[in-house]
Amino acid sequence: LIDDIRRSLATLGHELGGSRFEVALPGERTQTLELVERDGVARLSTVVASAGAASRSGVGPMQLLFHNRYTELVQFGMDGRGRWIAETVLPAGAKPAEIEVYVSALAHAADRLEQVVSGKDVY
Amino acid sequence: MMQRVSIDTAGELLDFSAGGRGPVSGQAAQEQLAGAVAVHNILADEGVAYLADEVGMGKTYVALGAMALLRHFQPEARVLVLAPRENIQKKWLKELRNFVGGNVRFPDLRVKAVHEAPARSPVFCGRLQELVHETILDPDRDFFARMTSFSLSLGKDTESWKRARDEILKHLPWVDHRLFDLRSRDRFKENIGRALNAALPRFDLVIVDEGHNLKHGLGSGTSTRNQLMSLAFGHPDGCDDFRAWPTYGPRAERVLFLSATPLEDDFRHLWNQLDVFGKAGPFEALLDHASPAVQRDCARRFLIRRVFALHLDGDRLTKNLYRREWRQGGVERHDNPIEVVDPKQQLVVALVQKKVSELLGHEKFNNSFQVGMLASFESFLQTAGVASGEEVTVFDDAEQAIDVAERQGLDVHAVNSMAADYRRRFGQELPHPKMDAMVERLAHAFVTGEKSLIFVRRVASVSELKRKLNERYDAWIIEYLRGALKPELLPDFERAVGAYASHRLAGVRQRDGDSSGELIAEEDGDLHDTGGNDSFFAWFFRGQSPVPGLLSGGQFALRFNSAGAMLGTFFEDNHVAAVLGVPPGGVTEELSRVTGLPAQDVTGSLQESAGRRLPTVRKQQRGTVFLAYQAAALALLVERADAETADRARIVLEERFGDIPEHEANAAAPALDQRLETRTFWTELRRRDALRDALWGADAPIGSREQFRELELRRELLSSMARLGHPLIDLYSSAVNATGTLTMGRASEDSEVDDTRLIEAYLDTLDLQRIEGTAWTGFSELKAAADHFDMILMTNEPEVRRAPLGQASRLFGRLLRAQEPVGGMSGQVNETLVRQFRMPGYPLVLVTTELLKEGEDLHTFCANVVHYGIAWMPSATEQRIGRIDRVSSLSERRLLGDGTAAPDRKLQVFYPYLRDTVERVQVERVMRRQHEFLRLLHEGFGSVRAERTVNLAREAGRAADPLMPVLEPLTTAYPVVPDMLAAEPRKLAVGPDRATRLHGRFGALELELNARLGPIEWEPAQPPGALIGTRPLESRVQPFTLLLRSTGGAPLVRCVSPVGFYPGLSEWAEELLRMATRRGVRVCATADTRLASYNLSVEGDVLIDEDGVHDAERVASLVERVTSAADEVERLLFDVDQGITTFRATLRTEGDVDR
Repeated sequence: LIDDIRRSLATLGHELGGSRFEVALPGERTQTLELVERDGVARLSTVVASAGAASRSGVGPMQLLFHNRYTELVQFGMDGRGRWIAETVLPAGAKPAEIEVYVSALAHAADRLEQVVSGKDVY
Repeated sequence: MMQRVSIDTAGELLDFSAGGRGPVSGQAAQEQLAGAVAVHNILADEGVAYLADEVGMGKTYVALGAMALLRHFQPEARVLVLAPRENIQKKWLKELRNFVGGNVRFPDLRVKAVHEAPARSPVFCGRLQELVHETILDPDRDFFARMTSFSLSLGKDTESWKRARDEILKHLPWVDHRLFDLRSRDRFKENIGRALNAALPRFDLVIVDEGHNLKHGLGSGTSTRNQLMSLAFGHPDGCDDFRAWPTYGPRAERVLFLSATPLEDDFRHLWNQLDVFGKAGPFEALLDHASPAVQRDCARRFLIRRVFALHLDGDRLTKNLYRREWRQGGVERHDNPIEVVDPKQQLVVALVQKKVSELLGHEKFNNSFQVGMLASFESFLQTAGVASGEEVTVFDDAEQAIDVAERQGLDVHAVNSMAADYRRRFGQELPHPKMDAMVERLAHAFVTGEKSLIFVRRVASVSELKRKLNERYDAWIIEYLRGALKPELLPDFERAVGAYASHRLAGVRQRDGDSSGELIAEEDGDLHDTGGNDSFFAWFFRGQSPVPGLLSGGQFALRFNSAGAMLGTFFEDNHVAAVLGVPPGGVTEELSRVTGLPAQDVTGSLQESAGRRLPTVRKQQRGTVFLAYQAAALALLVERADAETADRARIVLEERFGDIPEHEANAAAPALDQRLETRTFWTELRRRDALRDALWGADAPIGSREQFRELELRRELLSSMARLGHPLIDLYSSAVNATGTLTMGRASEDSEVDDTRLIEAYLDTLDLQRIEGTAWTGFSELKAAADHFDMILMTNEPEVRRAPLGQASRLFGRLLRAQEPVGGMSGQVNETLVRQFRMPGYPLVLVTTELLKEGEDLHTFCANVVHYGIAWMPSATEQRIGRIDRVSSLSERRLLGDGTAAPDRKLQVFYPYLRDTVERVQVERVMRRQHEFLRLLHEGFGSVRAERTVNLAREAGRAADPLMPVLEPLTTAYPVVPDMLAAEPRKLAVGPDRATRLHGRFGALELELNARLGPIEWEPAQPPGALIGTRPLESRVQPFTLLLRSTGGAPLVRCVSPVGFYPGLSEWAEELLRMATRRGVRVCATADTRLASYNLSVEGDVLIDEDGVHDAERVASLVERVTSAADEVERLLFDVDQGITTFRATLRTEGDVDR
């Protein structure tokens, strides 16, 4: 599964360094995504904010629960290190064009929140 | 990358005639399409466009068309609409839904979703903070904000400044709070603008409605609003500290301005508007005053303006030709002045002139005044706002006045003092000949039903005109009722008239004014109308108990209002009779015949079935039992009748009674008796062919859901009008004449009153009015609504077409509540009054300040506009007239209907003034300015130079100089040229059959998911575009819904599984987020401030692919993940296992949630 997706990503012009690749976004910003497999499910994952930046947010982790009601294809959550992360689950039989929809949705949503929360472009 | 589109391609997606149901058709629809394509292509080339079509040509729709074309080819495009104020913001939301529903040909998943709604949820932002909050939550929706939000009116209290700052900065924790030092408020506001910039996403298109509001640009002394807006959207000169604001930059990729009056004086106004968004750079030539042609050509690069014309009898009539201006000041006879014949009035005019001249003669004023700023031209009523010391409220449009003294009205004190003196000496109001002439003219409305829109400048004029008109209305209605009621009822009626007079007198003494009554919220969320004493109609026909022992019109109207009321079935229909095609009296027998059941079996079966459809209460209401039997009989027909009858019954049952829940354990209903034989207003209307055809349409058998819904909506609308508006007067008099008494009768809930006498009496009255067809009557109001039903729904209540039929009565009731014969508005828009003015009937006259000059459509039933208080700026005059000069206006319908331009069929524009006063000079000055304005806009040359200040010394003795109106058809200097429509051939991104295929595949998921996940308990009746089910999980259950949606043009299925309300969610937030990450789902919360709690759900979505091969596998995996995770959250936070009964209602409406 992962190998199929890796090939699709290459077809789409995404250069994977290990399991990671960078997506270019408007305003000369970028977002680094990681392809992972968990419980037999392929996902794309990215970091939105470090634990430090997240802790400075005026709204706190509740903000992610609110965001989740509105996002499409992307879920915001937290990892074991207290970082805010965003992920998307890639479905069975995803074709390159579909994978690109997931890649774009995840990169845009994560970068937008990163920009607002930290004012930076770290991830 | 935005690419041009051709008109052919655009026409494959957009239909501006809305399949023939829209307000425009033929050539007009084609011109709107061309406008949308031209705007789109100009935006693609220049990054900025200005749509300056004349008022009322549908600029909003053209803009929505351009936006749709952008979105179709660039589905990820972000759009923000900036409206000038709240009522126009709401109008945009309404128009967006109308446009997507009616003018986008098919669900392309980009503009129009598979469930026919906008593919991107529209978001209403009432404040800047909301815009920030909402765009951070999800920037990929369509946002509707308003310009006034950028004014940042923070007041003197520093706490409000801090609150505004903190509300924005809580989302931007990295911003240094020291940048917001309150010792420099200018700097503070600037940094609020930069913080907004940091929070806002980059919009691909910003639409600025009524863009002329920004015409003063960013120069010194211009408004905070413009400055703040320019910073928020990243004006290139707006940031000098990129360390503090590292993300500062442009937020508006393209900007579309809309206004019928894009400039006031010269081309600088255009440049200024572009500059607010940092888009003026390429258009410096607009500032080249030495070369008018260069300026005009520069504007032509991005501005288009079309001139509206009616084609009548071979003539092309532009606005100057289909409008009839009353320039000589008179209001009764065209081209005649107001005649002041009463010597007392002549003396008053002379006295006021003398006083005003003396006042202006003071050295402070130098014999001069600003046009529009003398209060005495309008009224002599005491103005409360002057003495308050607060923001002056004499005039309701601060922008029109240059300084505070002018805004107060130079002559207000002198006029107040003179009026008070007159009242003391003579015990009467100081006569005002202009106002009296105006009232005389407007009072014709109570006989003709002709509506008028009156613009005043002075706030006090609203209440004064309204009061005088209401007095005239009272005289009319009391006389009307004296003629309509039987002689033996008149003594009681005169008691009511006397009580009203005393009540008004007491009200005037207590409050020195009228009372408009109140709408008091009741437990069920509806509003209870207390009437008030503004007019006899409000007091008697809306008020509840004005005279002890007498049945008021208001009390009578309540008898129709609910199922428990005495006349609760009066305006219902007997649907079973209609389905069976028999009149009441033969229904039960025909039911027995059609179902093949003996009569006693029918009765028994219906009694049980109706019982299940009744609410579980001790005492059943008469109307509720009637409806339950209707539903029961229809269900029996569905089960046992022939296919054709069963189909008709099914349509009615599902559409009309689909939302009535069944309670299996209920006892049987009260006995059937004659309930299926009930006669109602509508069953009896069916039997009167001519009246039925006039009010309700043909009596064809039910053929389709659409046809049935249409008839039902018409029935509900006309029923609401009959019990809440002018037709109630005849309904009431029919009733009391039929019963022979005005005294209160028994109104117990189980009253078996025979409604038939009243029904027949009321129908007789309507029929007589139809035949006589002279004066304006209840019949003519209902007929006008019937004739223009589609237009009324589209402009006033578009949602009702999508809502369950059971809600129609409530929606129309809200629309038509608390009607007034004469409406007045200042300070704040009264949306109910505005919506009612768009309908036939009350209010017949709407008096307003500049509040309503922009945005609202008031053209549907009004062809008279009165500049009672004249506006200085031509754009303001044009905007005012534009409220009633719009596509499909009453005047347009009249002219096209007649086929000739008879003067009295034209749109009437009044400029009332007294000829022998200085007001004449003022009006001439305004006319001259309008003439220059017309030349600038239509020929593209010149500038508007007429001075606003009138110097009496210079004007004294000068002969009248009535400027003749332009009599040639107008042309435009800014047409849509072929180059704007040129584009390479291009296919639509999505064809019309895709959504159909998706619907089929989505419906097939029920069976496929059962096969993959085990038996899911699906709901028997699913809402459109949704599948609601319950998934068993070992010993527990988890309800969920699947929704067919799209993102960026790609179809997806969303799964939502509800968990419930949980107040202390924040302490669990981190754990829930980690769990969500582990399981690959979204744990979602929305705050419910009413319950001080959070509504929790677990959600996820998945794309479904083009060929559908993986649909079942993908959706099954999604449902498995989401429901398992939801169950885990439920176990974590709650002790119980809640099933579908808890969540059914919310899951059924989940598809309607704008997100």
